[in-house]
Amino acid sequence: MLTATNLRKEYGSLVAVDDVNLEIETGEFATIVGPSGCGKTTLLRMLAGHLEPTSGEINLNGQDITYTSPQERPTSLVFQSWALFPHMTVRENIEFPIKTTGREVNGQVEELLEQVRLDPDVHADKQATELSGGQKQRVALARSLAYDPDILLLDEPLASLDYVLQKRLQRELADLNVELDMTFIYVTHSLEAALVMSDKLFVLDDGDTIQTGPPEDIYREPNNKFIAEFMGDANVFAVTADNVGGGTADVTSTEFERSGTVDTHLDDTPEYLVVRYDDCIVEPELRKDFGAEVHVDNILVRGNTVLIEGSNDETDQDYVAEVDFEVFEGVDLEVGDTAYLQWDAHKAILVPE
Amino acid sequence: MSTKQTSPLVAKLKAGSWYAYVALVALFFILPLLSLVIASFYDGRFFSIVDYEFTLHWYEAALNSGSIRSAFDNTVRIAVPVTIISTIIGTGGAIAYTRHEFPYQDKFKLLALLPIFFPLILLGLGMSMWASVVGLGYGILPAIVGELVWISPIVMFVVSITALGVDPNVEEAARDLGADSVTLYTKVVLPLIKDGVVSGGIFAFVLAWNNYYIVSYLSGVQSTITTWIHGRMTQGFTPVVPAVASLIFYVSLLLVVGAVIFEFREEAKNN
Repeated sequence: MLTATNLRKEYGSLVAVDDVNLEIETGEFATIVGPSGCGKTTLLRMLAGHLEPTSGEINLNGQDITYTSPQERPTSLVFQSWALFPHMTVRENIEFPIKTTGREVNGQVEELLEQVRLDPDVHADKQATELSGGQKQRVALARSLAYDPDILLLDEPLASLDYVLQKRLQRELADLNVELDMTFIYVTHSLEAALVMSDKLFVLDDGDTIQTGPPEDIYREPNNKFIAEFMGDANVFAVTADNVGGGTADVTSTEFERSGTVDTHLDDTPEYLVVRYDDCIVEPELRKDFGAEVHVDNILVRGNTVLIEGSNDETDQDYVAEVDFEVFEGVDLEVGDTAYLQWDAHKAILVPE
Repeated sequence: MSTKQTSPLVAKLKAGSWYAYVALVALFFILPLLSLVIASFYDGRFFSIVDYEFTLHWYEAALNSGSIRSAFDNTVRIAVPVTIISTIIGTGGAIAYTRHEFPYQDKFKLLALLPIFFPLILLGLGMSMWASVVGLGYGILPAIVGELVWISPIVMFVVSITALGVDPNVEEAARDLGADSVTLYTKVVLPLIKDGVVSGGIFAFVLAWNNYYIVSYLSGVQSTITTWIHGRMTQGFTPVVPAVASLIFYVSLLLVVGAVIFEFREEAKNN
């Protein structure tokens, strides 16, 4: 198990990582997710040993590794730029950590390349610079695995790849995590990546974890407005709440029609109602629990879903719904129409600021 | 939006005048060297273009002269160690400056590069005074030390250019994958900046080979090729001078051509 206790990094007066606590079980796929500049890469670099924390402790299986150098640490980092050795072949890159750790090179290169789904006969003796982005990423992964780390750290290694490849590699990484029973710690700003791969999520903002848990829990029950917005494209409306307690609250808003009772997972008095784009529909009449009359400004067909953007002059608020293409076809909506963007109470999430 | 079209003729004229300009500048610089080479083959005491007669006599004389031979030996005995040591110091400095963060990094660069910006004649004078103060004396060793002060920063500058182009993550990756310092430098950092180190070394040798001011102050009674030429020029010219001067020019030329070929082969290998 890896634990970080009150881990802190200051640069002068700037606090990049603000007393973060992490607890990651062996074999777990943990993702640290947050917007740019939230301190996630700094945090990862401290876990890898490339950066000394200002204070706090990192502990791996009962051993304090806070100040252990990267070469002594049983962690391996897959860099965002992959950082392959450009003057070496694929084989030499993968053999590098095997040799530094004093082990015999004995067929591991072929084995590892197959593990990351590259054909050793085709790629092993290529120069590292000859590879495509996706192949470099796979080789970087194989090289890190060749170090035989207890913990594999990944710093957005998929960020510069195209979307289709990203999706495929996300799945492969998740499979690899199970297959190897190795702890993976992945850092990303992409929520999608976090949801697909992780067992556990740490949402980081302003250098501190603001929510921790399984991704589906955070997705369904975000702690505050920031997380709710970050976890998925969502409409956010200001509400006033009464009779808060017992898991429900009565809400009213100037930004949508009807008042009603909504489930809430928090004891705090909610200030916002969050409803995800894909939990909304747009129809001429209001027939769901809540809704707002909108002027349809824009219709974007995204393939199997359609994004409908609307606005309301009185509330001065934008409204967005993402509906299935078939549903959209059934409604017969055009830009310039007036219709109700609406949702059911059980789809709404109440959060404080 | 419309783009302004340049007519092919104007474009050709532009390119043509640019090439002509470059050729003229090159000629301007090469002409003195060229005349030196021509003079070195001239059979006569004082050079004249009329009744030019070709001879290898002056080269023969140069190679057979004891004083020239010893000057040549001294030049090699200074240039070779200066090349090796300044390449090591300059490479170390370049790695420190480009690959690591340390306090007063900017000031370090300024201080390290300072000797380059001093007029050599003043630098040599200062060194000469200092050499007697610290008891270093005059001779081959002081000349080596003096040239190191001037040449090492230049090597550092040349190597830095290559070192700056290397992804800093590569070094971290090596550490991350268990490399100790020896492995890090011998297997990763040095191979990656090899081209810069070779260029820096060639630079160092050419500068040491051609240096006059520093050796003239510090080499004492030992004469080098450049001080020998200067001595001949001031105390009685002989036609051997152009031949000797041409000889040191050939060595420099050989190295420059070598450097170009090396660069070309590296490029071919990378493609």
